[in-house]
Amino acid sequence: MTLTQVSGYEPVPPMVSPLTRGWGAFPEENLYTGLPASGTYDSGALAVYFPIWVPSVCVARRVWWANGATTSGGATVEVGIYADAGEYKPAAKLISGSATQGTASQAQFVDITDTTLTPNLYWLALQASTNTNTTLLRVSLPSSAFDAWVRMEQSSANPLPATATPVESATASRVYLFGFSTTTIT
Amino acid sequence: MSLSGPQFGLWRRAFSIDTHTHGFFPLLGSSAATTYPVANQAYYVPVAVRQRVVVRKLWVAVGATATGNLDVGVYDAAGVRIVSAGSTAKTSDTEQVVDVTDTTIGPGLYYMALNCSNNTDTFFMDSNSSAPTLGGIGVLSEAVGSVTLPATATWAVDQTVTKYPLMGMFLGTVVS
Repeated sequence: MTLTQVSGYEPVPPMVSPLTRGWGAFPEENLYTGLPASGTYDSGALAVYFPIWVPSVCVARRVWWANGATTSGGATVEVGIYADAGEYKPAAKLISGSATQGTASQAQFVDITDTTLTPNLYWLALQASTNTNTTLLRVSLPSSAFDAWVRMEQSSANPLPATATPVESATASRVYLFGFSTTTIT
Repeated sequence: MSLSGPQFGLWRRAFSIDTHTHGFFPLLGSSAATTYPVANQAYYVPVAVRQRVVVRKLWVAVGATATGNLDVGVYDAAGVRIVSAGSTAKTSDTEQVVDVTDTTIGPGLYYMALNCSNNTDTFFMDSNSSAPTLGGIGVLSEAVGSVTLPATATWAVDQTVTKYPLMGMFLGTVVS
């Protein structure tokens, strides 16, 4: 009989987002104010980037976002995964997927080429071509002072660029419910 | 056979794995007794099992109204039922504990499953989330048609559910 420690593996969630416990790189989860609620997207063609820590090898099979109460704007919504530049900001785009915003108050999925992610820091990117009648589920930080931890952004980013050139969000404090799925369950 | 040594750290001390503490979403509201969403519809909630454990009992936080039956179980990530209670008369205790066959699982992704034969019995659930928040964290559902959980789940992302059940598994000796 031998004594062993068998733990240490971090199970892979079916849905990964900036709000996923232990995977969203923002550690102060309790600072989010309230539960996700429908709200108008920041501005058209603005890309927002959120850091995630991937602790276990996983395969991104689809990207997804949570539509809010109004989707009549017909925006093209795009979600991407970016590698980290090594200085806590996104660099090269690894994969992305987009579609016209569909049914209100539903999670919307887009198939992507299966993309294996090894343990590392990555960035989830989101952009919508217009913010007119374009709502998504989101939470808020209590102050934009926390933005440097959790969010960067880039204007005129439709489609998502091959290489991100973001800046720290100056005033916005919105964190969206979106990301990638490691399953093909719909 | 080998037995694991003492488990240190927050996760390794766990004697219960449950949908709130070991789920993947940190932003749940407070739980309160509320009616089951849809009769004979199973809900599958993803949980992280971070070590190899023996599941000895399953538990559900239940409310006072108890006229029907429930079933609670554990599924692997492929939708295969690993262990379940079977159809069981629901009680009005604040925590209903059901003995199950001792079953070794983990580490990995698993789903806690709950089904109830009616939509009037009450359970302690977070019911403050807007759809599709829970679908966005991986909560799945299936119209089973009866209360007994299926051997293999035919599940789908639930786009409308706003109630997040509090349930879990009591653990025993870790065996590897």
